[in-house]
Amino acid sequence: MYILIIEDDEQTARLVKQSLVEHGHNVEISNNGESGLKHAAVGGFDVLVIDRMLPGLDGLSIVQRLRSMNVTSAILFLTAVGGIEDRIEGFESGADDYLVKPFALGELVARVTALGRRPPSSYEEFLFKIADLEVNLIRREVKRAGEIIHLQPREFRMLEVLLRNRGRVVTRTMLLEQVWDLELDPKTSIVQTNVSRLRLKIDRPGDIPLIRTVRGLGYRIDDKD
Amino acid sequence: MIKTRLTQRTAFRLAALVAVIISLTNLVIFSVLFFVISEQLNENLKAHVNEVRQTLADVEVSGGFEGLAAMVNRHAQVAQSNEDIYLLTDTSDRYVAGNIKVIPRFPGWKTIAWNELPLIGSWTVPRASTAVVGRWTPVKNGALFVGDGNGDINDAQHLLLKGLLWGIGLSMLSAIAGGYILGLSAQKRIARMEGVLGAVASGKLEARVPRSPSADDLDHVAALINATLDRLQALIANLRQVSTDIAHDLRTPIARMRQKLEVVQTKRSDLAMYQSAVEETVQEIDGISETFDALLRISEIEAGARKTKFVDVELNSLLINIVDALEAVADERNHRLIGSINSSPPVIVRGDRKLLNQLFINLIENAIVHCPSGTEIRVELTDEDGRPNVKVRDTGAGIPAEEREKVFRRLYRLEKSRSTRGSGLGLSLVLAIAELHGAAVTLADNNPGLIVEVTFPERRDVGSA
Repeated sequence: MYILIIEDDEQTARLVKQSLVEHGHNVEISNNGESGLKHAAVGGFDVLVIDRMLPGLDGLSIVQRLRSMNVTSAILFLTAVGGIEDRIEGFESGADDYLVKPFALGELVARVTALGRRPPSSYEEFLFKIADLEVNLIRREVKRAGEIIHLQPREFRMLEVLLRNRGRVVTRTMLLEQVWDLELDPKTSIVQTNVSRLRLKIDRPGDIPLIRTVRGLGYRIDDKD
Repeated sequence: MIKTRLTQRTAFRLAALVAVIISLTNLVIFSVLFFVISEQLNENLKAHVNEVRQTLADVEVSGGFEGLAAMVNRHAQVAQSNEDIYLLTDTSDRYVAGNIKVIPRFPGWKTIAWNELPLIGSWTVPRASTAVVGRWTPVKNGALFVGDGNGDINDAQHLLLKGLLWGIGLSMLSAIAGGYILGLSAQKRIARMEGVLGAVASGKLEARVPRSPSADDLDHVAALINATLDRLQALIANLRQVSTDIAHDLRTPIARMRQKLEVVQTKRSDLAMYQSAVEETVQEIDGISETFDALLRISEIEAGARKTKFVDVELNSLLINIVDALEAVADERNHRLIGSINSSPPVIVRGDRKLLNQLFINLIENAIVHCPSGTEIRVELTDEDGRPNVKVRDTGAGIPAEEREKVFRRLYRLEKSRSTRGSGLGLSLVLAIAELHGAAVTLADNNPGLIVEVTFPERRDVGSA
């Protein structure tokens, strides 16, 4: 993917670029609002990672202008401005995701990747086959080695989110948002416990483990390491 | 106190305006009175003249022209005192009788100045009298002129004018004096407000404007100022609390982190030690960031700006979703988490979905984390008399009655829960969110265990939804 980072803090920009490059992306950096806007408007990037507080033009204005110019790149706000109001403002300006500093680099990479790979809304994959796991999202049918597995609605939803991001990391907060519509930081291990339950049903002893834990970050469904 | 020129004071300007209005009103009333009374007196005068004319005409009928002449002369003799003028002429306009010499004939009424009248004999005309109003009457053998001086009218008019001047003068004086006195008292009260605001500006936040029993508009302003100051004081107290909390709760882990890093830096450490130090540091940083977020969020909520974004939130599905998410976690600790929540009828509150999620997750997570293994945790939703009510009951150790108030304080943790993870901000956040929604949070005994009850205010638009 082609990714543009508009961020005035050089070190943050460098670290973010480094981790995105490690994941095979092409990354460019703009360190101020004006040049960032010009770059983003003509560059045809898949994903823009934009800081909210920038010298020159602020992030919110950049996103508003880009959207008014019909730039369709996915946009992630990366910011130290993390109040609830600010978040809403960010989404209203046309951003697709919002990550508050300080953040885990893994979380950022996972979110950027998820943003860039969103399927066009007209077509969504509904049949998945990983190793001997077969899932039909429309018939809500799950089979492992030809045997039907009964899942609770939430368990099915978790599996669906993992499958739609097949091979990529889905972080705990992403699961919490997409499965339970909860945007908060729980004190208990809600996601871990629920994923463990799902795993008990999907990956039985002797099977190839498909739901993999990415340490300190989240989960990934895949039959390859 | 800010000194202003007399003419710049609102009260004085008002008083002056009132005085002008009163004077104008007086002027109008007096003008009307003047006109009406003058007119009436004029009518009276003419009526008097007509009466005399009629009497004299009658005399001519009964006593002939000579009789009339005699009567006119008799009248003329006593005429001076009542300013009456008589003149009788014959058919060839020659003088016959009366107290003036011949004047030309004219039709209808005429007002003739005294000095234009050819008076016979010596007259002392009253000062007020300036002219004579009279008219000619034809009689059989000549013509008769009867007139009357306007002294009475002028007297009355002078009196009225005097009254008008006095009236305007006095009413203006009283309006200005009254306005000035009122203005002074208002000025004093405004000065008190200025004093209080000045005191607040210089840091004395607890200063308040004294209220007056009159409940007038100034008192209303005073009440508003006091309410604003209350809010301001609360916000500043909130801000101070946040800075204290941040200092207290963030310095400790920062210090810990620093010591840990110093140890690995100064000692001869191997890779494993470095790794564990880094891992612990990342954990500490996450903890700091979490506390920081919670503190900022509480103060954001307490500042109350979010209320404008309130929507209808259905509590049934919200709670079912939370119970669903936390069931596995409770299970893992051998608790039983039970949701006694009917999916209908819908229980709806005005609120912020994200914050309400946070509120109930915090309450249920608290029960899960702090209760001993094997506790039953029950979440109940009721809607009594239109007041949505959520209870989280557990059969755990409960909170001693004397500690129940304190647990809502920021960073307060029960002695026994010091060892478990948590910032001590959970219940403060719960309370802040509840207060934003106008909801009350109460703690009660579940014998054994704890009941946390959140009661929302009565919905006003139940039927319309």
